[in-house]
This record gives sequence, C-alpha cells and structure tokens, in this order.
Amino acid sequence: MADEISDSDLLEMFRLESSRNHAFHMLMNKYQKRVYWQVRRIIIDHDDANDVVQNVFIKVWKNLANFKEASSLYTWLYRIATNESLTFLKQKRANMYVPFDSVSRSLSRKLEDDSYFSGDAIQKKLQKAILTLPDKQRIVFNMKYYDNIKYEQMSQMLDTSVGALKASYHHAVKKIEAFLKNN
Amino acid sequence: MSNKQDIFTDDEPLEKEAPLLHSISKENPFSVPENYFDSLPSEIIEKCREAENVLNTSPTKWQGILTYLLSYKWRLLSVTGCLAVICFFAIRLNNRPVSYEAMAQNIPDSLIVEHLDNNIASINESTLEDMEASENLKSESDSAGTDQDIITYLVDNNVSVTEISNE
Repeated sequence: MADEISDSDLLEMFRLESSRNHAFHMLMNKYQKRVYWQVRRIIIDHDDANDVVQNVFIKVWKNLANFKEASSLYTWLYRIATNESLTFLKQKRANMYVPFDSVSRSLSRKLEDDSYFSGDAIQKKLQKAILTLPDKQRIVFNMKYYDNIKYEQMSQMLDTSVGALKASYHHAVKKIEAFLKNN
Repeated sequence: MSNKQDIFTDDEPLEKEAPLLHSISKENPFSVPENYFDSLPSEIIEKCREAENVLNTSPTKWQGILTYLLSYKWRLLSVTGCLAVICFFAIRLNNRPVSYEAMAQNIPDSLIVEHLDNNIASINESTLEDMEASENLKSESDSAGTDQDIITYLVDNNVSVTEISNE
C-alpha cells in the first residue's frame, strides 16, 4: 500500500531515474487529499483549487530531488500548498483591482453557487464567517480546527512563532463566534 | 485568564469560548467530482513531464526580458507614461507667451487708422514721440553701412586717415 511506505523510502526511490514516476505516484496517493483539502479551504472553488494543487505538485516534482529533509515531507508539502494558495489569492486581488473584502465577498458568492459544497446551511454560514478573516488567520484556523495540527508543527509550516499562532487562532475563534451570533 | 490559557492549549474546550462554533459539525462540507482523486496523480505526472520539456527548451535571457517588458504591468506603465508626456506638451503649448508683433501683423492698417481716428483724444503725445524716437534709432542702426561702404565714402571724399586719428 502506498500509505505504508515511509517518506525516506519514497525520496530514495524518487532520486532513482528508473523508479521516479512510480515514487511520485505513491507520494501523490499518500498526500494528495490532505494537500487538496488544505488548498480547497483557502481557495473555496474546486476548479481554482485543482489548478493550485497541480502547481503545488509540479513544484514538488521539480524540487523533490533536492529536498534536504530538514523538516518532514508533509510539513514541506503543506508549506508549498499554503504559499501557492496565498499567491493565487494575491494574483486574484491584483487582477481584480479590488481591496481585500471584495475578494472575500467574491469567494463567499462562489460558495453560494458551488455545486461541490455538500454541507448544510449552518456549515455554509461557518464557511462565510471563516472568509471574513484575514488570509493568514484563516489558514491558522483551518489547520487547527479541521486538521487539528499541533502549534509546533504549524509553526514550522508557516514560519511563525507558536505564540503568534495561538493568538491568531484565539482571535479567529472570537471573530467567527461573533459572526455566527450576529448573522 | 484561565479561559484564555485554555484556548491556547492544543485540546482547548471550544464550548466555553465559542459555544455556537462548537455546536457545528466539523465534518468536511466540501466535495469533489467523482473519481477526482483517482485521475489526479496521472494528470499531474503528465503535466510534470510537460513542464520538464518546457524547462529543457526554456527561453533565452532576452526572450525572458522581452516577455517581462510586454507583461500587463509594463504595458500599463508605458501607456501612463505616454499620456503624461502628451499632457505635458499640451499644457506647455497652451501656456506659450503670445507674440504681440505677430498679432499686430494680422490687424489690417485700415482698422488701426480707424481706431486712432476714433481715440485721438486719449492718445498720449509723449508716448507717440518716444515711439517715434525709438523707431528712428532702429532705422538708423538698420541703415548703418558695411565696412566697405565706409571705406568707399572716405576715398570718395578724400578724407585723410591722420585727420580721423587726430579727431
């Protein structure tokens, strides 16, 4: 099973030309869902998330042979996925020539029309509340709330101190609770 | 204070800090098209190969610079620059000092004479004298001869050079 293979074995296989494709296939089977959901929660729209995920794995393909293993492979993947998602939102803002809240509103509208949203009304409301947060706070909230990632690991992924992440999550929870109460 | 500390731990009780949020299911509300994750790895590996081929035939440095210069940002900047230059020259053209002599040339003599006839009482005589004097000065300087004319005059009138030096 692809899930059973260790990251170091995967890397070793990837460095050999003969087993490169097979190793990458296994790596994707192991991590694609986690990467996709991380991106999807930030980008909201499936088609956009699909584009970003493809870019993430193309970057991984290009750089995996030189991966130094200073952090775990998953931490590294998560970091690339987060950066690519933020870059996507930044480009979207630049192309739209609109301030932050308009992109947030545009994502909120996408959520309304999203045929790949299977949650109920209250879950939709929660997603809209999350969309009112600044990008970084939104990422921290999603990582903690949905993926239950430890602050120490999150700190490595986002290059932010544990204290700042805790404060960020705390603020996010307060804002979301207020949104749910008032809307 | 203890509540704040609680929320900073990894397994903080949400029900105290955010009861509404706590009541919502944590289940993933998003979905994907059918078999999406089955086809994604092959699709991405195909794109990785394409990207590798593009990398092998990557554009030259100059092609890269040209592409950058033709990018949207630079196009916008050059259009703004052109507009600024056009505005600058348009403003300068409008503010150019007016030449009164050029304007006067366009006025027919009959109109000037008529104007003077009608306003003769208001014209200051001393101003006219000053104008005449300056006109004479100008015509004198205009009619001053060349060196050759002066020599011819001196020879014709038998004027001695010593006489001029003594004077």
